[in-house]
Formats: sequence, C-alpha cells, structure tokens
Amino acid sequence: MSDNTADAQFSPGARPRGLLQWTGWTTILLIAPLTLFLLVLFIIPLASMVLGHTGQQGESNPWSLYLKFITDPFYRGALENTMVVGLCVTAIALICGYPLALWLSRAPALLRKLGLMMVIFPVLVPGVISTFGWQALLARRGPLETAVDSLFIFGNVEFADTRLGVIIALAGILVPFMVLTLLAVLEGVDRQLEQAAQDLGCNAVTAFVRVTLPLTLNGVVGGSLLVFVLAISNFATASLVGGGRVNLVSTAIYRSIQALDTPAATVLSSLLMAISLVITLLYSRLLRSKVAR
Amino acid sequence: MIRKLSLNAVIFIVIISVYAYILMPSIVVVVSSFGERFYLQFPPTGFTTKWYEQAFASQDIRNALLTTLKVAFGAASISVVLGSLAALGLAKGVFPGRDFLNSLYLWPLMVPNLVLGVAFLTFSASLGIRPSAERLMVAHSIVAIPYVMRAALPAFEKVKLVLEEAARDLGSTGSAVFWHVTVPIARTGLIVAFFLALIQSMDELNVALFLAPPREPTLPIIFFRMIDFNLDPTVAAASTIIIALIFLGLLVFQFGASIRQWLSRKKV
Repeated sequence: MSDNTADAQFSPGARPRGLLQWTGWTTILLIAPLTLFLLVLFIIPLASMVLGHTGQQGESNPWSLYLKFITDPFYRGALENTMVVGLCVTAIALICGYPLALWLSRAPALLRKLGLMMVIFPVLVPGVISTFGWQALLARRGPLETAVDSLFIFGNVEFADTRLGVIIALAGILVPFMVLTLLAVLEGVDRQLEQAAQDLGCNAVTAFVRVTLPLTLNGVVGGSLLVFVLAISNFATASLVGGGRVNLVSTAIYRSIQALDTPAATVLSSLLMAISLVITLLYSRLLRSKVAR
Repeated sequence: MIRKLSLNAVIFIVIISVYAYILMPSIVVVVSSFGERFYLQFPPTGFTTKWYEQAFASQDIRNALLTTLKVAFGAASISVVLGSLAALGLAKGVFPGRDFLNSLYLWPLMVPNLVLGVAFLTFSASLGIRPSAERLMVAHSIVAIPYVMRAALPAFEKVKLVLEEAARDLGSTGSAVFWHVTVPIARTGLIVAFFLALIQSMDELNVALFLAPPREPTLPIIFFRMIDFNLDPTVAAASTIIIALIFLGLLVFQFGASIRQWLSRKKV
C-alpha cells in the first residue's frame, strides 16, 4: 500500500480517491479475481456458443447453422409467437402499470408505503409460484373461463394451453416491473407544472395528458423495453401456462436441450441473446440521453 | 362535484383492479392450499390442512430445500467475496479502463438466464465437467454478480474520504483505517448484497433447470416438476409457506421502523 506517496499521485483533473487510494498492484489484485472469473465462466462460454461450438462432432460453419434455422418454419413460428407475446404483454403491462404508478406517486405517505409493498411483493414471489396460481386461474372450466363464458359475448373462450393465456399470465407477472420503472420517473416530474397548467385553465385530465405524460415518455419506453426483454426470455410461466402447446423461442430452447439437440439450443439461445442485447443497448442509450438532457 | 366523484370512483376501480390482477395468483395459491380435493381446485371445496402435513413430511421437498440453501449460500458467498474485492478496487483505485470494468460487471444482466444456462451447460459439458450442485453454484454466482456490484460499489464509495482522512489525522495507520472505518460503513451494503444474491439464487429456475443434477433438484425445480406433472395441492401448501415468509419479511422491512416505534410507545 503506497500510503505516504498517495498525495503525490494526484494528477490534475483526477478525482481524489481518498488517502486510501491504491494504485498499481493492490488494485490489480483486487479486481483480477472477479474479472478473470467473468472472463472464463461468462464471456468465453457465451462467445463459444454464439460461434457455434457445440462440442459435438462436425462443428459446422456457424452461418450455415443460423441460416438453417431461420428458414425452418417451426422455428420461425416460435419467433413470431415470441414477438407477439412480447408486444402484447408489454402493451398490457403499460396500460395497467401506468395508472398504478401514477396513483402511487401521488398517494399519501402511509398508503403509498402499503401500496408500494403490494407491488414489490409479487416480484419477490418466485416465478414458479405465481405461475402455479395463474395455471389454476386459467384452467379449463376454471374461474376465469367460467367468468368470461358467463358474459356470453365472447363465445366459448379457452385460456388453458393457449397463447392468450400465456399473455395474460405473463403480463400479470410483469406489471410490477413496469410500475416500478414508471414510478421512478414520475417522482422526478415536478407536480407544480401540472398545477400551473390547471391554473391556466385546463382540467385535471388535460393537464396530465399534455404536461406530465410527455415528461414521462422516457420511463414509458424504458419500462416497455424492460418488460419486453423479460417477456421474451421467460420460460417457466410460458411453458406451464402454455401447457407445452404454445411454441415460443424459450420453450423451443428447453425442448432442444432435453432432446440433446445442442445445435438448435445454441442457435436459438444466440438469437434470444441478440434480441435482448439490442434492446438492452437501446435502453442504456436512452438512459444516457435522458441524463444528457 | 359529481364529475369529481365519478373520476375518483373510476380511479378507485382501476387501481383495485390492477392490484387484483397482480396479486390474484398468490391469493389463489394460498386459498387453494386448504382445499379438500387431491387435485388443485379453485375455488376449493372443503377445508383441510393435510396438504401442509404432506408438504412438511415430503422428503423430496426437504432435500430440495437443503440443496437450494446450499447452492444459494455458496453462490452468494462466491459472488460477494469476488464482488466486494472488485468493488473496493473500483471505488478506491484510479486506472484506465475503470469505467469499462464497471460496465463489464453488469453484463450478465443483459443476457437472459436461459441463454446463460445453455452456454454454461454446453461449455461445461464440452470440458467434461460432470453435473453437480457446485456447477450450479458457480453459474448462480455469475448471475448474482451484477446485483452484488450494484449494492457493494455504492457501499464502498459511500465511505467518505473525509472520514478516512479524519482517522488518518488522528494517527491511524492505513490498515487500521481500512478495518475500523471503511469496512464498518460498507458493511450494510455488503450484507444487502449477500441477501440479494441469496434470494436471486433461491428463486431462480431457468439456469437451475439446465444445470442442476437430475437427482439433486432445487426447490423451484421441484415445484416446477410437481406443477407440471400433477398439480397436487401439496405444492400449494409449500408455496403458501414461502409466500407467508416473503410477506412477513417485506412487512418488517417496510414498516419495521414504525412498528418498533409503536412498540416502544406502548411500554411507556
């Protein structure tokens, strides 16, 4: 530890890090273990998977592998389903989540604490358990189906083992994520702006739509990206509620692992990772532009 | 006046509906754990606690719980040890590439669990590593790293250089400052990091499904299998216990301070 020479190592412009500023070997010793750990056990496995090294005989050119899968109708169907599910889930989460976030941001202290707790609670409950509950709700001749059937408008609707059921369950599970993201943004909005708009003559609703809403657009996009990524990478809920009949990228990955079809699994996983990476990068780009403003 | 009332009514209905939407599955699980029938039924008929007896008696569940705890504590330990060392280095050191490393440690967040599971599986299989709980432990620790870093880094940065300077001005040596000033302040952040990693591992299904040895499932895996195969209310009972624990824990966390205040007021 270069204790006494710490002062001498301050260069103009560098943030002083305190007298325990360690440079050189100590720092390297500190960060090396984690960096090596991630390199060997995270970066390398992912890279080798993307490059098509399946560890089996006949490692083919990765591009031909990808091409084979993009042209297969089964996998195209899975991709299409996954996108539809992702978009629908995101839309539902937004429609349900925004009002809740808005209310929470303006609720009195005690109610807000309680309300926030009831939003965080479903997030902490393991996904399998929530999925279990949804399965019971969406079951054939279960509560939801009987309720909808009794309305007579939709005819005979089925939720079990359908894409619709998966969308409903997944959205229910992901709404809290949307709420939490939106809440963070809403709390940054100055309420006096809305008040000023009302003083200038518009009613509460218009003031909200034309003042607050545009200011929270960043949160809307951010929350939507988050929910979308979580929705397309979800496996447990989609597989159980879909009863194995709903064909999604995540269920296809699981099936191919079970069938020991490693090439399929790696290609699908790489595809999923690519989509998720693009979206996550968009998200962080968005965050940075928000800060810059 | 009527318009304001009806607006409030609409708001009330909307809010309650959304809460019902997100809380319904948990409520269903709790309620149906008391049902009489041997298959899951909602709404349930009859009232019994026999599923709880079955849940407690189940050897499968108990073994899975032990495995889950073993994996979780192992993963949390690995990630917190590696993570706090790195966080200390990042918080205190000045070197090129610091910002890059900062983001590198968050990369596992950008990759879906499922993908990580597949990559880790194929990688370890090609190296000839046999399925084991330890392998899952390592995978979980990777997933936990971002959470740990997000808690540990601010913890170490929070230790204001003013405090360290003060300690030094009062005569402490470098290592004494570290142990008696830096660590105690950063300690809560590290404890939080440990819990985050722990909870993350205990809830995790996707990676565990791929990496756990078939005879050593974790609790989420056991639940998944039981739900997939027979929808037996025993799962509901076990789940309700977990739900109750989470709810209580959250209650204490959110209202703990106020509860403590209220209790001490009563004594007077």
